[in-house]
Amino acid sequence: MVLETTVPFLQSVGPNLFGLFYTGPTICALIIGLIAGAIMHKTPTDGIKLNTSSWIAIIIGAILVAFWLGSFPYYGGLNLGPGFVAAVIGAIIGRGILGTKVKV
Amino acid sequence: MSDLLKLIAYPVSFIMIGYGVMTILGGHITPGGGFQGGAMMASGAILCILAYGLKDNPFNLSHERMSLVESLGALLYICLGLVGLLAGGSFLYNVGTNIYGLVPAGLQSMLNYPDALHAGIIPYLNIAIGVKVFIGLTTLVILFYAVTKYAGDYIDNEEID
Repeated sequence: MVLETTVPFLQSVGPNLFGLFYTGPTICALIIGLIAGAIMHKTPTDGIKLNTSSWIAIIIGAILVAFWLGSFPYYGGLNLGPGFVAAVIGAIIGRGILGTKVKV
Repeated sequence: MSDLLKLIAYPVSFIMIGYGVMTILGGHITPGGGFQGGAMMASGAILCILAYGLKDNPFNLSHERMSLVESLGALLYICLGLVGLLAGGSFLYNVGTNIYGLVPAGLQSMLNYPDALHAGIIPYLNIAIGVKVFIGLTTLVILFYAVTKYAGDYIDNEEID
């Protein structure tokens, strides 16, 4: 059911999502970010605790860096490196989902 | 290290991982690739190792978790090689994004990397190598860091205590 609905949508979207960014590299970046986040601890290890606002600040910082990078490496669509932002968000999500808890 | 360094090193490691991933993804059309991107990703983990030490590191440096991720990279590489062997007749044959007609058309068009030459499986090989190098270099630095702990006990390769 999900495939029946998603595949035609993906076919209509194609590699370049609404002319903004390329979906394939962005999804791959998200997956590599998830893998990188999987080898992180979920809980703080040394008294350094980052709360929700800290993570939002990191994502905003990543978007700023991506804006200065431009649309590297595909040079099309939005003037933003979507792979870079997707990797950072993927690492944060991967840390939250797949990260391990520290045994105290 | 001081708390300030620890507070900065962890968020910066995410940015370095992002740079590494971006280098991996553009490896087939720009300078860079799996090894370089993996080394950049490893530099994020290395920064945390230097700031936090091995014990309190925010990265999970256990043998099980690291071998799992590194094996994942190796397995992906071997699988892509075997697909080439089965579909094209030689190991790592570049069969393109339509891997032997198994990939649905929508997914195929989505994963078709935007370049003039249609790199095929090269970006995926870069990803596999990048993940392997990320863990491999991190492991190497863990080894060096652990060895330097005992370096003070030796002078000219002779144990002093």
